[in-house]
Amino acid sequence: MRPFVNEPEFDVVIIGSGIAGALAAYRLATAKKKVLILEAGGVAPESLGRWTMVQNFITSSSKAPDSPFCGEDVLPVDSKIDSKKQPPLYRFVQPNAVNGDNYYFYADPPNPTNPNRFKSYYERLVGGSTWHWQGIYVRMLPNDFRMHELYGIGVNWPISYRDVERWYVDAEYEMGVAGSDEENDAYYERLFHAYRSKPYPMPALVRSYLDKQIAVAIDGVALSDFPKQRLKVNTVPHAINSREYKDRPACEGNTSCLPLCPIKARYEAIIHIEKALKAGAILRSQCVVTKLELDDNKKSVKRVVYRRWDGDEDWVSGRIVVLAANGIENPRILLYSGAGNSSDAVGRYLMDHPIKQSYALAPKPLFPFRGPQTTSDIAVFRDGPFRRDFAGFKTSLKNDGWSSVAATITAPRGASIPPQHPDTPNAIGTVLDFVENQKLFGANLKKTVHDHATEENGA
Amino acid sequence: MARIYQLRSESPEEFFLRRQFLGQLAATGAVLSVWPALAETTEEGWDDGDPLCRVPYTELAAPEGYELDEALLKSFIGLSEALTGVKPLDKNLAGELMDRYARHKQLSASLKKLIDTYQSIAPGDTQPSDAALKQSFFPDAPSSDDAKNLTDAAKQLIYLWYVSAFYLMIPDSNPPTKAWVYGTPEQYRRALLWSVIQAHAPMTPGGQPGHWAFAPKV
Repeated sequence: MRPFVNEPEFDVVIIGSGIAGALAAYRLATAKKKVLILEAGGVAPESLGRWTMVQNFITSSSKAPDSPFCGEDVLPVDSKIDSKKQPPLYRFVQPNAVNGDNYYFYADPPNPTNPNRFKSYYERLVGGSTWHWQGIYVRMLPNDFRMHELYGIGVNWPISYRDVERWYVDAEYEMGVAGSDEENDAYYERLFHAYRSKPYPMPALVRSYLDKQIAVAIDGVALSDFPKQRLKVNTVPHAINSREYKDRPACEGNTSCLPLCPIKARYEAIIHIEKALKAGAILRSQCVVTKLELDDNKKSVKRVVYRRWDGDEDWVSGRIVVLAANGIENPRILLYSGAGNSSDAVGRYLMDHPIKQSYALAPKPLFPFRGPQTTSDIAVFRDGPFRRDFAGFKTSLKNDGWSSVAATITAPRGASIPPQHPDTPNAIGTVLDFVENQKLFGANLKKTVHDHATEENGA
Repeated sequence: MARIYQLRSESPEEFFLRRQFLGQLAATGAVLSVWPALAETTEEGWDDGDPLCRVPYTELAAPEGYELDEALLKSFIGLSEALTGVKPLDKNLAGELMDRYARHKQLSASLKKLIDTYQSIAPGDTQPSDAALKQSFFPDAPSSDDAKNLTDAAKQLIYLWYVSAFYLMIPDSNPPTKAWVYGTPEQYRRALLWSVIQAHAPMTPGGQPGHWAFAPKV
């Protein structure tokens, strides 16, 4: 490694090129600061209408969220795998369902009978995990910041909704968020005091046929345990264009927001990486930051040490260092560097993406598998006195049937052959199930597949 | 919201075991394929990654022992229409899919047997009865390994048309694992499944912006 030079090369070194790093890099580069972006991952192939990524997805067996980004120059290959002998194989050096070695645990030390693994993962790519996000964009509610004060749960934030509101607006205009001002006024502001100081940059995505049918069935209904809460189907804000916005087109309903919008109607951080580079920022990809080297009084970062994929080590220095490497990598870097942990909270309180998925068949066709994967939700249980007892939640209505409600189903084609289930013939509803277990073919197969898929309803 | 299926959550232990299994699959080049008991279908780690970009397979230069001629294509289309229930099928697409089937190393020999059987119940490409089709391709009690293999071959033909992929054992996978083996993007887009369910293949255009607000016209 070359010797340290006591003269910062950059005004700002940003570690991580995901949504936080990208927006910071863009603002700083636009303000004529000398900006370096360090990114652990590689560059996703992106030309000719995303041809390569679309092809990767289509030819992939699993159609998993990271399928579009296959390739050795994009994702690090596990060193134990000989990529020459097994070119299509790669493994993540990150917490991934596939690689048990790199899992994160809530409990420390891990309890062998209850491992409590962190179940989400991220894309180690230039542009980060918004490469595979669905684009659902939802603000926190004012009461989310005051959980302890209101409900005796958790801790209060040191900032309030009022403090962040203008920054929400800034982010929404940068990204391009489609949402309904009328619904916000009539619902979020009235029910949850979630006011907006500026209207949404564009109207909400058009509600699906399915949403409208469900709204007819449930709007105004109260559940017996919660007589005060009335169900209501509202559109859900998305960072997906409902009209042309900042040179990107309106959504055309390719129904693949997750993992990739082939026409760029969905916002991704890569858009601001491109803008940042145009404004003069510099990008170094495939550079994994291993450590922040601190000065003697431990108050500032002397240099940022990183390793390239070929194993070479190098470093860089900046007047300001921004950690934007996500909720797992930021603590990893800080802990490894012995930095910024006077609170002893670094690396604790990791929040996963807890979800419960439900699915049912409707009594009449809802025609899913069309449009953006979600256009509406039910938000009434996002806040209320019940949060003393259980967490608030929202219910997304899925426009893609049973395709993502359980990995073992993966409608309509199926992911694997389920065991026989003669008593519940509609419980799976995939082509694999109908053909393998129910031995359907011909007109009967066609009708059964049609009737099942068009009535699928997921949330 | 008539029929709701009750799911139970996967216990952490099962989750752990499943992940170990997936790790092994990744190491052997397989893709996820594990079924917990059905009545107790599980909550899943919903964003499992893709351990495998695609399944590699060898394509023969030409099928062994038969020619891909016009007569074969005619029977291929007749058989395909009978098994998929979709009629008429596109002749150009049929030609491509027949080529894929015939030149797939694991499947090539099966196609000849499928066509021979079909011709025996549909002489001169007449329309075979459902009973004859069932007896030949999906018998309730297959009498021999040959009969079972024929059923498997018929299923692959259905998958090829409906999904644009074969559903095949990955060579050398341990434990033995099946995965979808796709062809070209055009074939993916034209897979029958999507028109049958009045929708479109994900990541391909579905129509005009906002078309999802209404029931499909066809």
